[in-house]
Amino acid sequence: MKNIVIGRYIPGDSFLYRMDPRVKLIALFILFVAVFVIDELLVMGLALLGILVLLPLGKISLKKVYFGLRPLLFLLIFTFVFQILFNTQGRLLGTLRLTFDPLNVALSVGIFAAWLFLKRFTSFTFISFLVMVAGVLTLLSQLTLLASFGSFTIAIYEEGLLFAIFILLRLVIIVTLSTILTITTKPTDLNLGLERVLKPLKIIRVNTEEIAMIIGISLRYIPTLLDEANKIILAQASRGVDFQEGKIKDKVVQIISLLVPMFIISFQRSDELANAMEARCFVPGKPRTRLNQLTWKPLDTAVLVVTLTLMIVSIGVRILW
Amino acid sequence: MAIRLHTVSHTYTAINQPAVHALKDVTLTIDATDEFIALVGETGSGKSTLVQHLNALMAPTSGTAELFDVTISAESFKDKSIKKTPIRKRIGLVFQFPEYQLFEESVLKDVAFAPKNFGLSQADAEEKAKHALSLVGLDDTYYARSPFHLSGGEKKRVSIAGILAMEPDILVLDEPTSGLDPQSQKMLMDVFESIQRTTHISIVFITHDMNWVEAYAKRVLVMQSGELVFDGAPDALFNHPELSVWKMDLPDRKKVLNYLQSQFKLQTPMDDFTQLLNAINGEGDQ
Ligand SMILES: Nc1ncnc2c1ncn2[C@@H]1O[C@H](COP(=O)(O)OP(=O)(O)OP(=O)(O)O)[C@@H](O)[C@H]1O
Ligand SMILES: [Mg+2]
Repeated sequence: MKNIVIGRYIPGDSFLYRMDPRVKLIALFILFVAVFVIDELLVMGLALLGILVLLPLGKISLKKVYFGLRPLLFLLIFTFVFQILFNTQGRLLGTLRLTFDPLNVALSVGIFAAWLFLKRFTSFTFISFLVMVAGVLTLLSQLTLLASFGSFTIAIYEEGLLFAIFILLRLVIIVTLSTILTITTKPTDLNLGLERVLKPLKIIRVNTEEIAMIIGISLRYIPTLLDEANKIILAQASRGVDFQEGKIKDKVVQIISLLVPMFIISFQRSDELANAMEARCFVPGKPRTRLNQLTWKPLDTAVLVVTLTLMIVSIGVRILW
Repeated sequence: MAIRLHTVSHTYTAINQPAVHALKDVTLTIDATDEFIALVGETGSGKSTLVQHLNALMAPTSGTAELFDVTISAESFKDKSIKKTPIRKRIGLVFQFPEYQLFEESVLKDVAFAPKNFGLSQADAEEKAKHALSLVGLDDTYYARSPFHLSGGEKKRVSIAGILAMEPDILVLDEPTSGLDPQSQKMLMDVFESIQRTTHISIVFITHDMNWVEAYAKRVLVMQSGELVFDGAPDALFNHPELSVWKMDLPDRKKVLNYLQSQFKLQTPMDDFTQLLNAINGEGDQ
């Protein structure tokens, strides 16, 4: 729980930390556009390579980025598998014919159960999951001793496979870029940057300061809420709630015993925060001065030029390829 | 020995924060019966962290915690074949902040939650809950009320009742009297004492008020920046030269005694008022 990175600032020092938050936001936006414009797997691969170069330059370890990706791991896998299974365009690469008979189905269930049981003893849950899936697939496709009662053919097409990889890369790049932003930017700076970047919207009477404040506060409170959740889990564990065990019926009670205090505490917190802000004469929408002024440095211009170039290149590649 | 901590250290780590060494080599034993222990120490000295090791909520970063013959260490904590729930039933811990645990729609249901989790039927659990609520001074008008619409002190009582209803073998209380008016504080401390006297279970309570230490505790533990710096009788603590180094205060009675003693320029230290009065009278006679 404590290693969830979304919205967490991690102190450090590198050019990524020194950039103006406005530039970071604009650069992120430009790169997003570039990533969505790219439609070639090869170029997407190059983009990923670029990120892999950027990380050590910015002194951000892969581990931190992985912690940012981890909550989305199953979403990524799901999209990947979905694409492979249901996209039937292009050349047929190969098929895997799964035949079900009582014996191999029973064995597969056995393997799955064994994985469920063994996963608690290993810290490589994810890798063991992949091994388990591979094992079950091999078993179902190779071993048919008894009379089969059904079969299913997984067909993998070139287009499907490539597109699946393409989508996976795109998602990984987007999440990684966003993680880099939150890791390297203090919530207050992010907030300020956002407010300034959104400023032009004021012309169409959007209250940009409030929007920036709401986003800033939400980001700020994610880690706090996670800490609270941890404390609630411990307090309920003292009363005999075992969050790691339990039948479905128990699970429901467990989750309620976590969520209800969570909501109550969040409302309480927001009440307190509102009071604290009012006590310091905070009036929404009033012009305010800032303790830290943003300064535009040559680094920022350079970054903007580089990202803009990347975007133009990717648009060019898309049109000309 | 019911609880035996052996060189327990605990370090809080988070990837974006400097490590906090909240416990450093704490060694300590607590009997299963007839202990009444006060745990004191300045804010942030690690008291709450220590008590969470007493019922297997946390694992030591290094060292071991033997809790009723189950040994908890950094490795064994992860082993899910070692069940922690039975330990938590036997060693009941009341948290410092009641907001973290109240969730049911009525006070009675909330208090019955723990006994139900430990396998009692609904009816039996409610029976225990009613008894526990009466112990902490909440009568039947509270049963149907929502725990969220109570005052801070009432919430505190409900959370204490929630653990009392489990009938633990050892009761651990993290600041049970904070946020209560003086009368309720005394009332609750009396409840704990009478529970201790009648059932002979061991009780550990955290407090910042030396008056409770003096009035109730048979043994006192002092924490200072993660270390256990004192383990002994309350009287020995009050006469300890390093008392002020540990940011500890004397109980009011002691302060009055000391004041009078210095006013009357008495040489021998006095332990109670009768002794003091005798000394003063004796002086007057001469
Ligand atoms: N979840 C946590 N993550 C990181 N550090 C923590 C955490 N909980 C406590 N600490 C730190 O560990 C130290 C001991 O905290 P602890 O809560 O045990 O103190 P305490 O003696 O109970 O204080 P108090 O009298 O205020 O309740 C403190 O420095 C605190 O900041
Ligand atoms: Mg505490």
